[in-house]
Formats: sequence, C-alpha cells, structure tokens
Amino acid sequence: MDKKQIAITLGVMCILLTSGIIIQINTTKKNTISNNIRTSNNDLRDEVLQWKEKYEKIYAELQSSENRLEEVRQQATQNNNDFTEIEQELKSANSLLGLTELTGEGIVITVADNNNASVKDKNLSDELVHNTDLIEIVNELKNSGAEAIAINGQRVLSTTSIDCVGAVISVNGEKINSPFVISAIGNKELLNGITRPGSYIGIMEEDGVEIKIEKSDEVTIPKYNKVLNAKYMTIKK
Amino acid sequence: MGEKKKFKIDKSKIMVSITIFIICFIIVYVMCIQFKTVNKIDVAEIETMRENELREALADWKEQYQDVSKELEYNKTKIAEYESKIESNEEAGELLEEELENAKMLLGLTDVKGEGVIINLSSNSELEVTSQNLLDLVNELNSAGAEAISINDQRIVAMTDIVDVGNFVVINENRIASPYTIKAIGDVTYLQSALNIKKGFLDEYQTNGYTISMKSDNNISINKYDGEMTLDYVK
Repeated sequence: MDKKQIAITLGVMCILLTSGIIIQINTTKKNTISNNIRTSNNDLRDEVLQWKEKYEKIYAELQSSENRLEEVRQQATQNNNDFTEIEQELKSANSLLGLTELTGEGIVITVADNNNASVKDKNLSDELVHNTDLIEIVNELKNSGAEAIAINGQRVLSTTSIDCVGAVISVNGEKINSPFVISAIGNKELLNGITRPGSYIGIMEEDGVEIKIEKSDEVTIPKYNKVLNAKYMTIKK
Repeated sequence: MGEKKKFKIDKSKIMVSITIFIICFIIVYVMCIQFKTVNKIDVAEIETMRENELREALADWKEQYQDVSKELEYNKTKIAEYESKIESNEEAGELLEEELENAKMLLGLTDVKGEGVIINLSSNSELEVTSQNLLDLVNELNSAGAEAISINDQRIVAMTDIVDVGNFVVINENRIASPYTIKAIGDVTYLQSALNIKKGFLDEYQTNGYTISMKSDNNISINKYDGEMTLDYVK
C-alpha cells in the first residue's frame, strides 16, 4: 500500500516535471530559430538600444529639471501674494494639461476581446475591441463629466489620437493591447451611467466583448509621459 | 527479529526520501535557471524586432529624444532666469505670466494662429454628418499631429465631447449644424498628406458619398475655448 502510494506520487511528479521541461525546451527552440534571423540586424538593434538608453537618461534629467523649476518658482514668488496666486494658477493649468498625476473618485472600465472568439465566428469583429470603440467610450466619459482619463496608463489629452495599427491599438503613439483599462476621474455615479442598457458599452457587452466596471474613490491617472509643446501655433494677440 | 526488520525498512525509506529530495532539488534548480533565461529573452522586446520595425523604432526614439532635449533646454533657461531673479531680488512676475500664458495656450484658453488645413464637411441629400464622423475626423487630425482644432468655431479641448442631440451636433454644450468647417493648426504638409493618402480619410469619405473638401492655409486663426476648466473631483 505504501509503495503504491509512493509510486503514484512519483509518477505524477515525473509527468509534471517532464511536461514542464518539454514546454521550456519548445520555447527555447523557438527563440533560437529567431536568433538566426536576428544576427543580421545586430547593428541596427544596438543603435536602437543606445537611443533608448539616451532617451531614458535625458527623460530622467527632464523630470529633475521640472522639480527644480517648481522649486525656484516657489522661491521667487513666496514674498508676493499676487505671484503666489499666479503660481497656483500655473500649477492647476499644468494639472489640467495632464502634466501631473491625479487621484480622485471615478470609475475603472475594463474592456477585453472575447476569450472564446474564434476565426469561425460570423460576428468575430463585434467580439473584439477596436480603436473606434475606445474613441466612443472616451467621448461618452467626457460627456458624463470626466475630468481626466487614461487608457492602459496613457493619459488622454486634447491632442491624443487612438489609432488602429495593424492588429494593435496605439494611444499617444504607444502600442497597447487587450484588455484595455480605461480609468476616469469624475462623479462616479454619473460616469457609471455610461454602462446603462442600450448605451454604447451596453451594446458592446451584448455583442460579446468582455466588460468589467468598478466604481472607486481612489482612481489614479498617470501624467502624460511625453513632451507637450507647440511648434506650429502661436498666441493670437 | 521483528524489531530489526522494521528498523531496516525505515532506513531504506529514509534513503529513498533523501534521494528523491535531492533529485527534486536538482530538477527545480535546473528549471529555475531555464525560466530565468526564457524571461530574459522575453524582456528584451527589441531583440525580436525585424528590420522595418527597428528602423521605425530608431526614428521614434530619436524624435522623442529631440523633443525631450528641447524641453530640457527650455526648463534650464527658465530655471536660470528664476535663479537670477532670486539673486538680484527682482520681481519674477513677468516670468510667471509668460509660463502661465504658454500653459493656457496649450489648454486652448487663448486664440491661436498658425499654418494648417481647413476641411469642409457637410450633409447632403443622402448622407447626414453625425457626431461620430466628427469624432473620427478629430482623431485623424490628432493622429497627424494637429496642435489646435475647432469645429464651427468650437475649440476642441481635453474634455470636449461631441454628441448628437436631435438633428444637431452638440460640442462644448453648444449646438452646431451642417455645413461643418473644421480648422486644424499643425504641420501643413503632414496634415495634408495624412488625410489625402489613398484610402485615407478624404478618399474614404468621398467614396462613401460625403461632401468633403480640404484646403491648406498658412495663417489659420482658431478661437479659444470660452467655458471653464476645473478639476472638482481631484483630491
């Protein structure tokens, strides 16, 4: 009896371990195959990595310069009430622009491609999330008074576009994938109204898109992680 | 005798357990090493990119680097200016106003001018232009790098929504109707080619029977947003 139990346990363990190893070997094999293709683009790849590093370095420098700018601004204005007011105004303008992280009440909507979607489905397209769906949802959130919105960590600004790039969606030029997490700050009851039956989201759900909604008192919206400037427009006096 | 035999079995059992334990340990260890290698390969997304993607990525990083370095220059100048004001005990009001002005311009709270395109889109006897068409167009213009957009003089700001109400389109809580004049400031060459491209926005809308046209202009004026912007639900 004891021996039988041991044998069964060992057998089960062996099967698990072997399948684990086989899966791993397969993954590694795939990687070695693409390895061969890769060697030809080595120089280009190195250059991309170098620029990426350069970018990350200078972006960190930009962050610290922003902090320093805020410091000197405060220092330069602390003795004059008028200036303190302007400084506050500038701060809130920067928040409105999307240059700071914000927290407040709101909702978090998760929309995802249908798990069981298959190429055989007649209405496959309806079961997947498209860039136009995200544009509609963002528009409805704004209509319900959203004050700040982000999709998968990408802050939505007035100049943000939500594009379809082949099989993926890009927001602010950054590629994102399903599931799409749309966070919005605003009156959470009003925002929640966009999920009522017959609404755009309601219809998406009927079509088979997976949707989850969460009201929260602590929604955090990250800041825009690129540079915001104007190259072509100037103030008209 | 019985006691001795029992003892023997126990001893061999212990030996078996130890062996199994050691084998398990080694196997788990090997698996861990493998997982780590596989992980490393997954992390380096760049490693698996093809040539075209690599070129695109390279151009993208270079452009972003330039943007950031320009912004950094700007910040450094500002910091130096503030510092000299602090040192000489001068007033920093002007400097602040300037920064605020720039932020307000980006928010859409000032009238702006610059090069760009003007698009005319109107309903005809067969097709009615809806809020969805206008949303599409705004997204397309943003994708082509527009810096400021207005539809029938309604400025598109961060929290602007475009909806249908009855036979009208409502933007910033103002009713507007066809014909729609959409103005966009940005790189005029890029805006034009992005929208004019074959199977692009204009091509598609024309094929579908919409009345749409576009022209470029080197001096477009776009009105400011005249509502209020507040963050009431932010802590």
